[in-house]
Order: sequence, then C-alpha cells, then structure tokens
Amino acid sequence: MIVLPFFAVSAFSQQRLNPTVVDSLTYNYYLNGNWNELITLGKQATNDSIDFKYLQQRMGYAYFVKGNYFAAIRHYQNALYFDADDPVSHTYLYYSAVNINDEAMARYHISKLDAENQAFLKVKKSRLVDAVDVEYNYKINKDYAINYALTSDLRSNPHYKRIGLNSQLGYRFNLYQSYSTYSQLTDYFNQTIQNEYYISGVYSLFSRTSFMAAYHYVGTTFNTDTDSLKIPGNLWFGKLTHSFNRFDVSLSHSRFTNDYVDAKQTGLQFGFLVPVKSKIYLKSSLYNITESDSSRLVFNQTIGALIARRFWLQGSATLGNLNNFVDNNALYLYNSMDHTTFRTGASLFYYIGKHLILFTNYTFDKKLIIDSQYIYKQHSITGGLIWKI
Amino acid sequence: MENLKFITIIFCLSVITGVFAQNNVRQTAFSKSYEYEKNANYTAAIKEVKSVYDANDYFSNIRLGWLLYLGKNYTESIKYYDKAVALKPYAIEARFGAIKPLSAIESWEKVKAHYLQILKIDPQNTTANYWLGVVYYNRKDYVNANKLFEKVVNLYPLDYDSVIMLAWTKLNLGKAADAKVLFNHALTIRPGDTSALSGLKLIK
Repeated sequence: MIVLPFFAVSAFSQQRLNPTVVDSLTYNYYLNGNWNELITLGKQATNDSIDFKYLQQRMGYAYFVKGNYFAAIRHYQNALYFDADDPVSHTYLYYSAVNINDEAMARYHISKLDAENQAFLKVKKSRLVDAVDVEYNYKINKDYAINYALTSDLRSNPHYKRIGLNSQLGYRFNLYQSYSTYSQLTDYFNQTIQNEYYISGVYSLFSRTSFMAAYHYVGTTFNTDTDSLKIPGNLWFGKLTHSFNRFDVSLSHSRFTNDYVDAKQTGLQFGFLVPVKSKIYLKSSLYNITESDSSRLVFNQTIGALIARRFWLQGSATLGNLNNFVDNNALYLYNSMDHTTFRTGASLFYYIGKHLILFTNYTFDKKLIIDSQYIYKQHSITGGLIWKI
Repeated sequence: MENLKFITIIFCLSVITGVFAQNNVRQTAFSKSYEYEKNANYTAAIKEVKSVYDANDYFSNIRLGWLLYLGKNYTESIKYYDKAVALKPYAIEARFGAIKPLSAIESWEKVKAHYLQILKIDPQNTTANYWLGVVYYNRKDYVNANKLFEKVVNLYPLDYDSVIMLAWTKLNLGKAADAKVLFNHALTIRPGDTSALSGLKLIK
C-alpha cells in the first residue's frame, strides 16, 4: 500500500492525469501524511488544468504542516474560489495568519465562520481593552555648544511620554487610541509643550487588504515668562494595505495643518519577508512631502530579524528633511523646532510571554537649527512595554 | 556593484544640490518680496514668502507679519509675529513688530504686555520706555508715565518728544515748577513750540 503511490505518480507522470485519479491519490497522500508527494502531484495536476476545492485544501494543509504558511494561505485562498464560505478553508487561513503574525487577517477569517466554529476557536469578537502600551523617550543633544551670541539656540534634552490603548470592536475592526506629551526648553525662558491625542481605526476589507484611517490632535504650546502661544494642529491620515504571498504594499496619504503649517505627505511602502529561518523582514518606504508650495522626498529602509528565540531586532535609516514628517501610521509626527535631516536607529523587542512585550529603541538624529543653520546630533533612547490583556 | 556606486553618487549629489537649491530659492523669494513691497504689491510679496515659508524660521514669520501689517491684515499679521516671538522670546524686534498691528486694532493690553517684556529684556530701551510712557499717560497713569519719561530724558536730554511728554506728565502730577523748567527746555530745543507755550500758559 505504501509503495503503490510512488508507482502511481511515476506512471501518471508519463501520461495525462484525470480528476478522479488526482482526487483519489491526493486523498491517500493526505491520509498517510505524504506531504511532499501530495504537493508534487498537486502541482502536476494544476499544470494539467485539474483543479478542485479539495485539491487546493489538501495542498494547503500539506504546506501548513510543513510550516510554509504563505504557500498554505495561497492554496486555501484558491480553495475559496470554489466555495467562498468553506469553514475548513477559513479555519486554516486563520491558523496560517496566526503563524505569520497577521492578526487582522486571522480575525477576518474568523468573521467568515459560523457561530459554532467561532466558539470553537475561542477568539472574542470584541475586546474593549485588548492591549495597553506605554513608552518613555529621552533625547540627549550632543556636540551642542550653546552659541552665546544666539541665545535662542538653547536646546534642553526633550522628554516624550506616551500611553496607548487597543480595542477590538468586532472581528474586522480595530481601534487604537493614544495620549502623549512632549516637552523641551528651547530658549532661556521658553518652554515648548506638546500634548497629543491619536485615534486610528483599521478595517479589514478583504483577507489581506485593509484600510486605515487616523486622526491625530497636536496641541503645541510655547510658554514664555509673559506669553503663552497655543497652536492647535490636526493630522489626518489614510492608508490602504494589501499583502500577497511574502510581500505587502501600502499607499498612504496624510495632511497636517495648524495656523502655520499645511503639509501633505504621500507614501508608498513595500515590505518583503525573506524565506529564511530567522524571518528577515525588509521594508522600503518612499514619501513625498509637500508644504509651502514645494515638495521633497524622504526615503526609509528598515530591516528586521528574529535574532534569537523571543528577540526581534529591527534597524532603520531615513534620508531627507523630516520636518513635519508623519511616521508609523501617523502615531508620530516629527514637528520639533529643529529639522531632522538624517535618522538611523534600532529597536529590540523581547517577547516575555504570550501577554507581555518589552521594547527598547535607540535613534540617532542629525538636527538642524533653521535660523543659525547650526547642525547638532541627538541621541534618543526609548523604553516601553506592550501588555496584551 | 557598479550600479550601486553610481546610484549612491547620484543620490549624494542630488542631496547636496538640493540643499544649495533650497537656499537659492529662499533668497530669490525674499528678494522678490522686497521688490513687490517697494511697489506696494503686498499680496504678491506675501505669496513669495509663503512659497518658502517654514513655521520654525524666525525670519519668515517676521517678514510675513510685516507684509500682512502693510496689507492691513492685522489679525493675520499678529499671528505670525506671535510665532516669531515664540521662536525667539529674547528678540525684541519681533515684539516691536507685533506692537504695530496690535496698536492698529487698539489691543492696548497686549501692547503694554509686549512693552513690559521688552523692558524686562532691555531696560534702557528708549523706544519702549517712551511709548509705554505714552500708553500710561493716555490712561492718566501719570506716576508710571513719569518714571518712564524721566528715564528717557536722562538718557537723551535733548530729545524734544520725551522732554515735552515729561513736562506734561509733571504738570498733571501737580509738579508745576518741574513742568515749567521742562516746558522752557522744550522751547529752547524747538523755539516757538505751541505745546510748550500752551503748557506754560496753564502754569501762569
């Protein structure tokens, strides 16, 4: 019985396959756990234009068992062409999404299951308090000599604090809110304080396609001995993301306005997960920023890898003038008094357990004081945690 | 590899060229704005500065504040002067600039606050001392006006405007003898001055 399939494949490779034989053999391979044979025959069959739901599901399962989740996704998605509501396809697309760490996709496929199957997976439809994250950032200005002739060049080391709350409002909609505050002394009697509120919603349009909309309130206050200048600002953001196989592509647009600034930013991002054990992820982003009737480009390259069990390391470099640059889905707006003209840094994530992630970041910025055209360096250190409740 | 080197060189050159181009663009825009200002075409002058405007650039804010003031758009003018003040709170020129549109809309409390801040930074500033003195005088606060005019007269004893204002302030404070001396001094600086003569008439 075990030897028979080999003869069968060998024999059928010499002649045209037919659906009945393919169905019978692939089912046999599936039952016996002969994944390589199943995949080989499946490929051969599809090349011969033999395709049916169970073939795709069996190939998807074979890849799933072998740990090739992207291929599994491809085949289970093919199976959905035959039966869009098939619970098995949706269930394994859910499991595959969990394994490639795509929570939005996983939840999308749960939404396609009936109540009984949803209950089996034990994933709650809504969670008002899904995760809480906090971060603290301290920046150190280096090679910075106070120019006594230009007293307004004084820059203290700024602080940034942030707290965020993630809520899942349905299987396909995710809501994230954040409050942050930034403060810096920028003159002998001038303090800049910026309080910010951020809210974003992500809706899964399809399995691997999502739309994100975000609003970010930026309240800047310049306090001097006698005056207080309050500048409220509004940042609007939209992003469409689509993933296919190991690639993902996003198109985003944002607009930041206050009494003095009207900056528009359009971004195009390409991501690729390299098929190696350490899960290397590459992302290239190109942005076009338009403000004051002129445009400029900003380029970012990020690389991340699983360097050890539970440790994810990520490095990035950004080139271009980052004044009013919108980053990380508009969670961060770089509108500090001095423009960043170059940035590089690295982040380390430590997955303590299922519920807790610790992270730290180091960033180096080259900063430019506009009036005096003085360039100084800034070292930035961040520590934080994400608590998945 | 050769391609990579080529791309890197092209990228560096474009960044360097971009920086120089940015400076040139800025200078050209400011230069054009001066030309438009000379011809009283403030709208065009404002447009030029706005084309290179950077909210963190003190000069751009000052320049827009000034041009908007000339264009009689006082509220907008104040907005840009306020930003310039926030960027350089030690700079008194931004405060002097802000005072112009604030005076135009008669926002005297804010005018007074700017003068007080200027005097905190530069206590001997004659312009601020004099005009804050005028603000106090118009509010009939002769005690504070007296202090400020005295300071200016001590610095510039031959400045007619300060001498005459101090003379009237003294008169209003009931210091007729001091006022008489100052009115006569004003007449020496500016013979036949009607204000000084009318002051002397009141004393006699």
